[in-house]
Amino acid sequence: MSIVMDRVSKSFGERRVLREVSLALPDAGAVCLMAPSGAGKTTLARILLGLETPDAGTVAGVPARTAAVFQEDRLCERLTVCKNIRIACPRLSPQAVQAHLDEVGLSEYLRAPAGKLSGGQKRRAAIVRAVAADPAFLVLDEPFTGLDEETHARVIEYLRARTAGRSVLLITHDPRDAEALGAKTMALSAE
Amino acid sequence: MRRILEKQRRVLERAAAIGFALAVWQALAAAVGSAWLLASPARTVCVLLDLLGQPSFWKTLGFSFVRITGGYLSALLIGSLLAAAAGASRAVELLLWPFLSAIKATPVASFIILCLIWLNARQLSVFISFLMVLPIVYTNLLAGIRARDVRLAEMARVFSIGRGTRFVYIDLPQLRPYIESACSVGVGLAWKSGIAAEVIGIPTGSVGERLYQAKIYFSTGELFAWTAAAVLCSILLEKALRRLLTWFFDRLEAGV
Repeated sequence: MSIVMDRVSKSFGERRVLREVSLALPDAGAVCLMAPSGAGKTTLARILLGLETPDAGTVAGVPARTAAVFQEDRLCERLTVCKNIRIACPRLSPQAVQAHLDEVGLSEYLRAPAGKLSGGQKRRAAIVRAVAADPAFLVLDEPFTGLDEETHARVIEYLRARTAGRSVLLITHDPRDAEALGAKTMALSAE
Repeated sequence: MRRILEKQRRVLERAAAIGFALAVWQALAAAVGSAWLLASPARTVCVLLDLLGQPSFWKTLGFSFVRITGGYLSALLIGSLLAAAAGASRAVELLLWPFLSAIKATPVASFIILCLIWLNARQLSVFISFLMVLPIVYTNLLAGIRARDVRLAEMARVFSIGRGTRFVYIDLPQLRPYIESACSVGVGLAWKSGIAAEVIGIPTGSVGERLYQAKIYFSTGELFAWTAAAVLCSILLEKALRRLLTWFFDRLEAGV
């Protein structure tokens, strides 16, 4: 069963962010949501993840196993990179975490406190955490912010290889990211 | 290397400050000229060394240590539980507010006298230490609970992280500075209030009783020696707790 959002509206005070938005996400495969800033992309993702309740409309079919790369990294700064990943995926051994980190160029940082990483390194750690959690539905909200060209390509490759067969919602401004991930593009117009 | 030198410099500065304070004390004692009214540092050390050799000294210190530490640890436990409950429910916070405000505002002597009416004098220091430390632990931990990062809580929700894991690895590291502060401030207060309670209640075999006797016999040497012993106990307990907390959190945070 696919994830279906039916005529969802959401306002914050006087500001209406979403008006009767409908969309369907497939069980497997990536969908890219593109829209100008302030169009409600993140609000839509938060509704899908159960972090916001819509004022009107319904959301159905969201699986229990979800994961996300948020706009901010949301890492526990004092914990090691490995522990940050393993609290989200406790069944993963440190060796398996190391394999994930190798793929995104964070080989040396298994035992490093997350707070000591650079912005780009934190981003990659957050991406690994979301992918390693083995979710049925994965939200990537502007996941490539702060990554240089080379790392960006490496992370795209990692995502392509590791998210096959899952439902992925990618939120980005860059159509090249959607193309690289083989995602179907969907537009959201500003309210 | 620079850090070590900096640390050594700080130790030397503190040693110099302590040396200065002792010199002022010695000068004042010499000026007063009566060991009954103001014992000198040297006299105090002599009395303390003499006391250290007496089995009754350790028994007396043990009596107060067990009770004050018991009250302190009970306050840590109950204060943490109350803060957790208040953090989870605004209604609980509101219901606890008058009690904790009353404890904070009421002079400790009032509680001591009230407790002397209700309790056995031997248990007085347990209860008074508990009562004085409780609001400190509660207030600190509640502030920590309120200051937790909501975004991490959302992350935990999205990833379906279990309650236990969430508490140990997401909440506790965020609460670390608040827990350390509560423990550190609480130890000194527990000893001050506990000994004050013993001086008023005069339970047999306590440090407070020995201080009271020192007052009756104008023996400032004994007064200072027992005070030094109580201060040393307080400092040692605080250091031991700090080490325990550092060990625990370092292990928790460095884990894979």
